[in-house]
Amino acid sequence: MVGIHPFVTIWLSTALLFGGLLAWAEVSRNQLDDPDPAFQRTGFLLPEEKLRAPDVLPGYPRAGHRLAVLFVRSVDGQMLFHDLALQSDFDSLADIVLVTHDGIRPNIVQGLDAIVADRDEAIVNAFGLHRPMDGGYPVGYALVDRDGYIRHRTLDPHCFGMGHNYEIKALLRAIP
Amino acid sequence: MTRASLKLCGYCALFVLAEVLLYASYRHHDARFHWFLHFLVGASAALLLMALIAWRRRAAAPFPLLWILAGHLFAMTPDFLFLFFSIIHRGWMDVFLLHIQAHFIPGRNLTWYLIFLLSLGAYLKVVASLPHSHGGLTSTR
Repeated sequence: MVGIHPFVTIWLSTALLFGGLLAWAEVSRNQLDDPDPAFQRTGFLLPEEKLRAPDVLPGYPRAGHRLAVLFVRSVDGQMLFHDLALQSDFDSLADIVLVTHDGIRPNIVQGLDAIVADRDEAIVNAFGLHRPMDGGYPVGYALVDRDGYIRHRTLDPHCFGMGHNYEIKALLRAIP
Repeated sequence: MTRASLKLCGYCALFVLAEVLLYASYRHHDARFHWFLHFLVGASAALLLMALIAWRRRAAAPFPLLWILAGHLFAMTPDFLFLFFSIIHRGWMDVFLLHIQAHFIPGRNLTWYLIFLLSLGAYLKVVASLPHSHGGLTSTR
């Protein structure tokens, strides 16, 4: 019987280990994630003056002001104080508009400049957010610069809280 | 258990611990995609570099797992800049093993997985051709 070279064993073991881990990573993804993970939370800005923000939010974007648009399916029954309090310091960096699919308003609106319903999904489609894996309403955000151009947009199932605030703030600070 | 075996276990355990910590550093940032991506890119680069060095010098590079860890850390550098200094990603950061463009390779992480396996195969083939080659990835010399 011909013995298997130890290096073949190393290669096969490594292939099986990482193949298994990659398969686990794929099947355990959040259904609110982008089907293509490369486009989710990229960490960089879109090019300047390329994507004009759509005129679908009454009064926004305001000239000379940055805008952060947060898209969620619903805030019904959620205790928003903690999450919104975390985000309240965004308002020194940008106008903040919360867009909800079901149109239900949060109980606590501190830190939000406007709350807009998007039952027909026209707003989220105009901003060009990808559909998540489950095919439903996208949960994420879009950031607009002072000249009215979209500079970042992404799905982010945990854009409320979950330690993602540092990321949105870093992006907003980098946007002119 | 011999001293050499203990040394080997400790070396491998330190590598695994370091990678677990790197995975944890992505806990707020879709770790399962980004950790795999930059590990596979960094490890592939390290394996190819080690294969080249071993082929030229006719001797395996010492501490191969450290090379892989270093490759991973180098590939992750822009993420450290974001995490610790809130410096967002810029195009020039592709100098860190294509940190940005690597995300958009067709096939995504599956492609990098295949490249990683090819790199590992190339490295092991070169090392196997060397005299006194027994250590593979777990060599501590």
